Amino acid sequence: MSLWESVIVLVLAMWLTANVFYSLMNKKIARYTYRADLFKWLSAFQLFSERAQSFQLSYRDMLADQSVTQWELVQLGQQWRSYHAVWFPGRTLGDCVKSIMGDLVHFIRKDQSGFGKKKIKERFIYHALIHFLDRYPRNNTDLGRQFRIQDKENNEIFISDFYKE
Amino acid sequence: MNLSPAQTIGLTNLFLVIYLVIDSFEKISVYKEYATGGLLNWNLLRKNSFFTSKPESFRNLTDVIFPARSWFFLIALRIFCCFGLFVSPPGSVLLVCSYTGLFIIGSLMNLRNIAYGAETENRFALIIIGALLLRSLVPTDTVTLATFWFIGLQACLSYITAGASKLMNANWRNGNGFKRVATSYELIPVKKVNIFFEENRTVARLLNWLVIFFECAFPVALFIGRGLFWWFLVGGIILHATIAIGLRLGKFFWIWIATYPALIFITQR
Repeated sequence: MSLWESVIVLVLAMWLTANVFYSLMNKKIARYTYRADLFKWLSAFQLFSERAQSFQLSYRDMLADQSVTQWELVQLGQQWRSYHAVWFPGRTLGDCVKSIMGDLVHFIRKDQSGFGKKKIKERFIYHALIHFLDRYPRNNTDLGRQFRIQDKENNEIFISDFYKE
Repeated sequence: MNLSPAQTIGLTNLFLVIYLVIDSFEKISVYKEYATGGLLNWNLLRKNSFFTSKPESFRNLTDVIFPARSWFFLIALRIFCCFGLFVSPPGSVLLVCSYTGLFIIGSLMNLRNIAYGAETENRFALIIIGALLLRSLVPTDTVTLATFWFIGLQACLSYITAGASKLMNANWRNGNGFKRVATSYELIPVKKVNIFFEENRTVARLLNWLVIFFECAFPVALFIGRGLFWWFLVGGIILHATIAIGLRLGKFFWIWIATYPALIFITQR
């Protein structure tokens, strides 16, 4: 084997070994790999192994006269179509919002147990959700918008303050 | 069926390119999400603490690459690189450049999307592209064989990781994991399917264990002889096609199937 062949084979072997270790211990080392593996070259594929948690997102507005509108449920899912097996660009947005909600619920539960270091309102995902909800029409004169996250059984997990950003 | 190294690389490239082209055009079709007001808008993503905690030079660089206009230039370049994979002769500089372009753009994609989590398909695609890139640098028989083993073993690792983590999950272990997925309207928005698996729990339980068995036993397929190996490949195609149709994860299909030519090559030896 030439020198260059050896180098390439070594790189491939190291990459595979790193991936095996990552697959075995990704949860334990996630806080380090999150920042170290910038480009996500390591992966642990645990497709559908965890219980699929589904949350509902809804919002309401406080109007100028301080009355509050009805909760509006945000529809993230799209009707099933056979061509979605090949072409489904709508999945991107739904996945992002679901990921934000999943992370937010994770941090909320962590905060309740006293381990949270950062306030929810200071987190990027909180602001990303507010940014997402801005696409839904609102009255210019309203006093603010509020959102809530519920679980599948309609139990309230989080309710924000009224905000106006 | 026996494959030559050139045929193996050709087929891998074909499936890879199908995935990359679909993914790139899907991103172009939701360009509004990358523009002002969208959830993937760079002005929003750059506020993530991952980026704000980085040195200014790093942030300046990302501010050049990641805004919508330059980002879509890179997406267009990604499509161009796909085209390059087909037209460039083996061992050519254009081929190396195409793989390099795809690898860099795919890596940047994961970095840009870090706040919401990198796309699983793209992560797996990078493994294949990275290996083929290294192979294109030194396209000898030894490196080609090592590349095919690398891709094949990564596929096996992905299946066994998925199978083992299901075995460690109580729902899957007691036979309800599959049912939870199949009866979830959020995951499979087809009432008939949800109701079918709600009513036919034995079928759901059987499929639950079939999926776990398939995923955990997949690496064995490399050593059990060609007859049974082909059954595993057919099983894999059915599994991924079902996921593509039912769960609407079509891109998973192309990228996982892209590893099969390498698996065929290493098992025929």
